[in-house]
Order: sequence, then C-alpha cells, then structure tokens
Amino acid sequence: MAEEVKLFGAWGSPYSRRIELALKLKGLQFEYIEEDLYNKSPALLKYNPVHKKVPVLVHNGKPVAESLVILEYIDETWKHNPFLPTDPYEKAKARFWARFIDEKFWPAAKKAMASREREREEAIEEAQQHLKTLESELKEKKIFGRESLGFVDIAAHLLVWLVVAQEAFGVEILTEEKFPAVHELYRRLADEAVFKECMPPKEQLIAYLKEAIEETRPHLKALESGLKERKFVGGESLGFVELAANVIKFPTVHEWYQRFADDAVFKECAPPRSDSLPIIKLYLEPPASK
Amino acid sequence: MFGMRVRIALAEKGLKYEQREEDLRNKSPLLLETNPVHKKIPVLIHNGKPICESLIIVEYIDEVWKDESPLLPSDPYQRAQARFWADYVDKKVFTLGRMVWRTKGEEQETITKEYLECLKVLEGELGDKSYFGGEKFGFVDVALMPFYIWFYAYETLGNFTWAKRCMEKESVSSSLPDRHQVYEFLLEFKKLNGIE
Repeated sequence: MAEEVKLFGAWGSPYSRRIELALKLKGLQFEYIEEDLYNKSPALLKYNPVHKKVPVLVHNGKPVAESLVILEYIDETWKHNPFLPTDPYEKAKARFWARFIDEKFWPAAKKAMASREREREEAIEEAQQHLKTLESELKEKKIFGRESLGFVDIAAHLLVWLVVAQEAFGVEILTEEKFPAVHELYRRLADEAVFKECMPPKEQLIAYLKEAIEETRPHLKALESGLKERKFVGGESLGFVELAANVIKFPTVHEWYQRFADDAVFKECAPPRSDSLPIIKLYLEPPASK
Repeated sequence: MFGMRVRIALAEKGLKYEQREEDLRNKSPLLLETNPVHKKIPVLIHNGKPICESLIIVEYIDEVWKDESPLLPSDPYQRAQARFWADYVDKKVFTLGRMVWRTKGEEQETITKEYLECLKVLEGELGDKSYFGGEKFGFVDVALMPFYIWFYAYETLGNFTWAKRCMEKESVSSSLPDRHQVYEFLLEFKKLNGIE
C-alpha cells in the first residue's frame, strides 16, 4: 500500500518544524505544504477544524493535530528508531518533561520576549525558574542524555529557537554560566545535523520571530482596519520602527505613519509608548478573526 | 477535579490503592517531594515511583494494567484522536469552564458563550456514540467526566445522556462527589470572591 504522508506547516513555527524533525528522524518521505498563517488554506481548515492551526499531519488522508499528539502517533505508527522508551514509567517521565517544556517553559520564554521593562524582568525570572528545574533534572537524572534522540530531545529543540530569539530580542534567559547542563543540551541539539536541517535560516527567523512574538501585531491589525475607516490615534507609541519591516502587510498604517512621523510638532505632542498602547487598545476594536 | 480522573481510571482497572487527602493550602512534604516541579495533585506513587499530571497518570495506568478494561484503543490513529480530544478538554473545557466562575457581567457572558461552543464541539464529536471511546468507556470519557459536576451548576445542553450513562458505571459514580455538594461549594466560592 502506498503511504501518503503530508505535513501542513509553517517555516517559522517551532511546532511545525518539530514534526519535520520527527519525520526525518524516522527517515520518512512526506509532502510538505507551507501555510500562510494569515491566510489559511481550505485544506488546513478542513483537516484541523477545531484549532485551525499548524502542524497537521495527514496520513493516508487521515489528519492528526497537536504536535505532541502527532509525535506519539508517528512513534506508534513507524516503530523503528523509537522516540519513547518502552517502560511505562520512563514513558510517563518523557511525556511529563515534554509537556513541561511546552506548557511551562516556552510560554514563559515567549512572554519574556514580548514584554517590556518590569513585566519583562518578571517573565525572565519565571523562564529562568523553569530552566533551573530542567537544569537539576538534567544533572541528577540525565533523562535527556541517551544515545539516540528521543521524545524530550525533540521537544527540547525549542531551546535552539530560544537562543535565536534571545538574540533577536536582546534578552538573556539561557546562559552557559547559569545553566551549564541545559546549555550543553542546547549545543548538542544545535549541532545535530537533522535538527539543523529543521531550523530556518537565522536572519529570516529573527525577523519572523520579532513579528510573531511581539504583541504589537494584533494591535497593528486592528489599527490597519481602524485606519481604513478613518479612525486613528497618534504617536510614535506603537514602535513604528518595527513597521518598516511590515510595509507589505500593513500598507495603510505604514502610509499613515509616514505622514506623521517626521512632523516635529507631532513628535512633540505624541505620548510616550507605554502610556498610549492601552489607550489605543481602548479606541480600536479588536480584530474580528482569531 | 483532576484527581477524579485518576480515581476513575484506577476503579476501571479494579485496583486497590491507598488514598491520601491533601490540604492544598498546606501541602505535605510527601507531595512536595514527589511533585517538586508543579507541587500539585494528583500524584500516583507506584512501588515508590511518582507519576504526575492527570492524563499522563491515566495513560500510565492504562499501559501498566493493560489487560483490564483498556481506556485507549489499540489503533494508533484512534489513539491520536483520543489524545487530541483529551487535550481539547484540558485546553478548552477546563480553562474556559473555570473562568465562567471567576468572571461576571459582560465578560462572563462572552466566556460562557465560548464555553458552550466548546461543549457543542464535544457533542459533535460524541455524535451517536455511547461514549467518546465508542462502545466502550475510554480515555476521553475519563478526561471529561469530572467536569460533569460543573455542568449541573450551569445547566448545559444534551451532554446529560452521555453523562448519565457514565454515571451508571460503578467506577465513575464512586469516584465523583455529589453534584449538589459541588454546586453549594461553587456558590460559596463565588460569595467569598465577591463574584455576584
């Protein structure tokens, strides 16, 4: 029987790349379909009507969604080079740590990237707390330190994304001094050929992360539609420097910005960034689509 | 809430176990030692080894005592579907459900709408089946059942037939507290937190 494996993904999504990684580790052939996350294909919406997200694996026409669920599916369907141990207790541990990375560590890391000043400090603290947890687990129990790459290593690939994001946002969360064991894991994963293949080019990724993680995006979308209807609020306060990279996505906002940004009087009158963002949120309708 | 999932799973397998009640405002050293990462219940300790996170525990139980009343199907695709829906219960039903109690006015209305939408999605998934697991009570049923006690408190739709069916199972009815008790508890909670 011909196996048909398709992966719906996005080049900048670590969860999507994680599935690519898994398929490559199993040596599987698959068709990759790149999704524009701002313009999702009918196929994606058909295969993942519940969450409408990537990644989605479609195996012989049957879809599987949610990255950790997909990983287990892949492992159970193609049993060579197993990701998960056979012992139920060890399996439970692997699942626990993969979940920990996904549900605790990564959201905290993302928050640290997206926030500013005090909020950022607190978020960094939180992310580092989680790294401490990983650090002691790695030191004491060495669950990651096996010969072959497994379930938790695939999940921990996020560490490689973290380091790129750190550079993009000028944030320090994972350092070699503070977390030598985690850093060593990061190095091991970053240098691993298959993992390397599944990382997008660094510069591209940095630009993409800034766009994806920064909170300005939903507000920019709102502003975009608000401006089209002749509603606007002024100021440099949305960090329009970032907009320069987003001309194509937000042409109206960009044009509007150009009109005001260089006006000296306007600049004088613009409120500081931290004050106006909440006001802008109040003025504008949140975007209709989620 | 999540502890109930484990109790149901253990009862399904006909297992004898020792239960320790935890005071969540004053956690025991044993709990902190066995779940240092999250410091939460439930924790299953099997022959001295701790397992944490309710769904992970349920899968563990299912794998170790695999000959008795399997909760997950054997086919990988069916298993993936079960895990997907259990994850949906965690991500949506639980998260939204608890917010219904913690909000009021317009915010509560919006959240309640979203919550009911989620329940509709689940109903769609259940379809004509007796259980989410098909003919047999399974993983998703275990995942969702504890939330049934919330359903009474805000009278939801059609899930009742499924829930009644589950409640007929000894393993389930013996593991869940009385709905009325929970309702009273939730009313108290609201009063204490100034949510009218």
